[in-house]
Amino acid sequence: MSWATDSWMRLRSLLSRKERAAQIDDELSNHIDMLVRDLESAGVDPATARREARHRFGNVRAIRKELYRMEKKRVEHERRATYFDELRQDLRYGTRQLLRSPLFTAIVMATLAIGIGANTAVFSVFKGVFLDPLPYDQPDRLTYIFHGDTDGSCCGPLSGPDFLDLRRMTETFEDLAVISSGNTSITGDGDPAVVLGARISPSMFSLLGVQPVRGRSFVDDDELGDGRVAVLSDGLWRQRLGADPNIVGSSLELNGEPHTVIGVLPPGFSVPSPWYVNQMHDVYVPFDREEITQGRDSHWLLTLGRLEPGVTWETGDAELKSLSKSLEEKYPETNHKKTTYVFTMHDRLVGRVGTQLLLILSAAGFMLLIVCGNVASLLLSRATSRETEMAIRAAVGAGRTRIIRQLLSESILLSLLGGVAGVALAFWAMTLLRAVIPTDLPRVANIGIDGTVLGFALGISVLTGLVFGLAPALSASRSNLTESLKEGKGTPKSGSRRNVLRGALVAVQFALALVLANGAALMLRSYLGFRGMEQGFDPENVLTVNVTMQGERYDDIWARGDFLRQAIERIEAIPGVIAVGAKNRLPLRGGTNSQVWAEDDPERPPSGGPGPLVEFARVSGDYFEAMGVSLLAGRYLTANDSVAANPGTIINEEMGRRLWPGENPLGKRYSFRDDPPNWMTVVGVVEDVRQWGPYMTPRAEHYLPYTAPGWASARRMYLIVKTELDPLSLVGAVREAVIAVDKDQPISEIRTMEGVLSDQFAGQRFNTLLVGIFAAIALMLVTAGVYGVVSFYVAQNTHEIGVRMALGAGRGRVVGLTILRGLRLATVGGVVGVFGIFATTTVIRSLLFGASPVDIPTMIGGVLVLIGVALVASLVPAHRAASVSPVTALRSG
Amino acid sequence: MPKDVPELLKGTLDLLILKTLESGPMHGYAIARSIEAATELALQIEEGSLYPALYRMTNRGLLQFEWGRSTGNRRIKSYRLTPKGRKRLEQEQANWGRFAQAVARVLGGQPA
Repeated sequence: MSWATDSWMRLRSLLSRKERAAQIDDELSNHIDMLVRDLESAGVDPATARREARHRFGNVRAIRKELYRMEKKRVEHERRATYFDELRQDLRYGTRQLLRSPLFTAIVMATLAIGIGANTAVFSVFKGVFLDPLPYDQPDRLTYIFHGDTDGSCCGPLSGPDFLDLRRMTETFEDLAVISSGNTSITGDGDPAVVLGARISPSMFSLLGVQPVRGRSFVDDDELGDGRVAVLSDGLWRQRLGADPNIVGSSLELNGEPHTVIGVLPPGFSVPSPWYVNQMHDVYVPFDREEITQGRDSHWLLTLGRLEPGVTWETGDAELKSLSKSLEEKYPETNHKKTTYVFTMHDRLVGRVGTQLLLILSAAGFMLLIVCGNVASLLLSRATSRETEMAIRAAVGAGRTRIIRQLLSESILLSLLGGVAGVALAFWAMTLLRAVIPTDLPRVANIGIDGTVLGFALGISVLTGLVFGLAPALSASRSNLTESLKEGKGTPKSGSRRNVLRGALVAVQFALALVLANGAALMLRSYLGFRGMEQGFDPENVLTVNVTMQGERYDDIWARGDFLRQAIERIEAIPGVIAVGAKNRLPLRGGTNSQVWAEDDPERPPSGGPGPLVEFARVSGDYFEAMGVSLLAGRYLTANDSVAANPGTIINEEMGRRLWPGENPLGKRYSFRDDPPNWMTVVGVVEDVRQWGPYMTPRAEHYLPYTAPGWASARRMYLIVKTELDPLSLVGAVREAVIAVDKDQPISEIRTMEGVLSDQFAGQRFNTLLVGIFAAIALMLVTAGVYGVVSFYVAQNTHEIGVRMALGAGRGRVVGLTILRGLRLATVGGVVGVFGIFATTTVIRSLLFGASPVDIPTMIGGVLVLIGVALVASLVPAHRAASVSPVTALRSG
Repeated sequence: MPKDVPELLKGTLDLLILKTLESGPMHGYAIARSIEAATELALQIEEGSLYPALYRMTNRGLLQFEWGRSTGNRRIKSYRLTPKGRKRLEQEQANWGRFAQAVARVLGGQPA
């Protein structure tokens, strides 16, 4: 009888609950039976013997229960001990294995580090931008409310009266508040500065759930506007005002008017605007009441809403739409076919970019899968050389699960090491990423590697280890015991079976790489397509600077007009300047629009009525020449156009098409006001400019002389300077020219139009760059994978190749056969990949900015690239195969 | 069972089991009989209480067990001392000796 060893006892501990109960019952009933038997043989009659036995034994049920509890505890303890024991063994053994083949370990770790690092870095961006809740109180109840047409075109600001009516009537929103952002100059102590300021309705701060940390918030009375009060951001208070502890109650000159500071906001807080991404508002003043009680047809207020608790945004949207309907009936002149759209704040701020980041994360995930394929393939090739070891383990009694567990422990150890290296790589990658991250990526400051990101890295590391470890582990555990031991080395049979598995892995990698490369190619095509597209202006050698024309002296539009004229004249005099003009908004950067009516439009109701929306641009000087916007018909504006009874204007082609389809628009008259109409006469037609960015088709737009009656003759204007050479070399001269006109007018936002244009593509460039990098890495990995499989095939079949050559097969034939091996993998992978491309069309669409997700030439190109990769990767092993000497090969076989 | 048998001194059951198993492996019933015989019924115990003690001592690593077959082909669980159990027995025996001596000294005024 052999006595229990540790492992024997542990084996026992794996017993089922039922078996445990049976054992206890057996033991106790044996005891009682033996007692009965002994009593009977001592002459006691059976019935008495049994009664006596039970009595002497005591309370069987209680004892059984107690033993049961003790046994359960023991088994649990044993099980845990066994598990940790084996894990410790596996890890110790695994570490030894890894140290034994340092090159293998280094290659695998590096491959894994790239895969895990890339995923970690992208995830940290995704988390910082999209996953983290917005930094406001109960952010899921926050929404934006936009004005739009009932036909679905959406997302402009609201008018003041509409906002007030909706706020009064709504029952699904706890509160609505509005904000209008704009540059604000701070004068008085120190240098004049221009900051982003905002006028807000007084309840804005409480709607967002924030209170000033010093002083107080706005109260409803401030809305009257005679208070001239301001609340400052923490940043402004610290940086410009030296964190003055007595700031509350002091006076600050904003846009030339004294304001009393009543509060300072907490650090990092800014009212979020989807139109000023990543820009912090530095100073807030309340609206004047008249500002928002008038002008139902002037839409300029960004509206925020806080839903009542438990109300979904869809419900809020439906309610506001029905309220808008009632406004439409009440105010048909202004609200005809107009409605409101509700979006969650999260969706509006980061929804679109979140989808894109998720796709980039998927691309990184694809790459990680390919990494898994490569590592699995490496492990499989190693498994062949470790077959004897596995056979010995099996021979001394290690079960299949035990071997699988040991191999998986090794894999996970590897992937954890790779994960550590990957996190280090991610830290490094983040510094690179920061350089290319678009500055308009929302919440860019919130991106970083934190606990959650590290947790993610740990999670994908373990998962990666399981994914790449499973196939090799299963394959190794299935080894034929006797055969392996007999051979003393890898058997050809199991080796070739493994090579089939490796081949399958490589084919899958091909498929993944094809999908990835195809996506990257499409993105690149889309990017180049938009980049090369006609924007409607010539960005080469164009300098733009902003002037704000602050101060009382510029209250008068003619004073502003004068300032612009003089500044333009002075800049024109600078050597190297070709043309100078001014405009209220830069191309691609959005605009302001209003409805207009063509004089001869027969459908125009007698009372005026709604007409098409037209972008309002104000220009001065030789804007069109400076911006390179071609004149297609008519003439440029002259000084007389602004003072004529019916001012002359220039329209774009699209406006001509909209208002006077099929007619020559020159000389036509139109108005944006009906009571009384202020007729304007079209004197020129220019080409369409993409005012709303490269991804939006040009809208109808008209250009008014700056001083012509109407609106949008803002204080804030951009000077446009076309130069012969590098435009930035003239910044100093331009600044001096402006200061020569008025020494208090600083220039800001110094940009080239090339830069403005480039910024527009920053997001697409970023996405394309990342996916492109992943695709490139994927291709390299696949190359390595094919190389590995074909090399292994050659090594395993040296004998066969030798025979073939001995029988007269030429070198060419051997090379051909070997390459065919690689091509076969590429073909299978390519076919699967094409299916993959079609399967992923819908998801990749959002990264393409409108380009078609299926592009046959790109796809064919992708397949060809993969075939090329397979060719190149097979070439070296094929050459090696062909240089096999038949004699050696036959002998070694 | 006679009613005037003294309660087994607390802790002594473990010692008795260890001592009983010193001579070799035994199943529970045999242990009970052996203790009974050795103590000449003086320390007769409620036999069922033997098992919690056996299980407890197994969990503490003092005993090992194994399943075998009896002549009647029933499953029989046998216990034996582990090296740790053997060491504990020596310790407890020494302790007990000292304790018994001390008690005897108090009661009889001199060593037994």
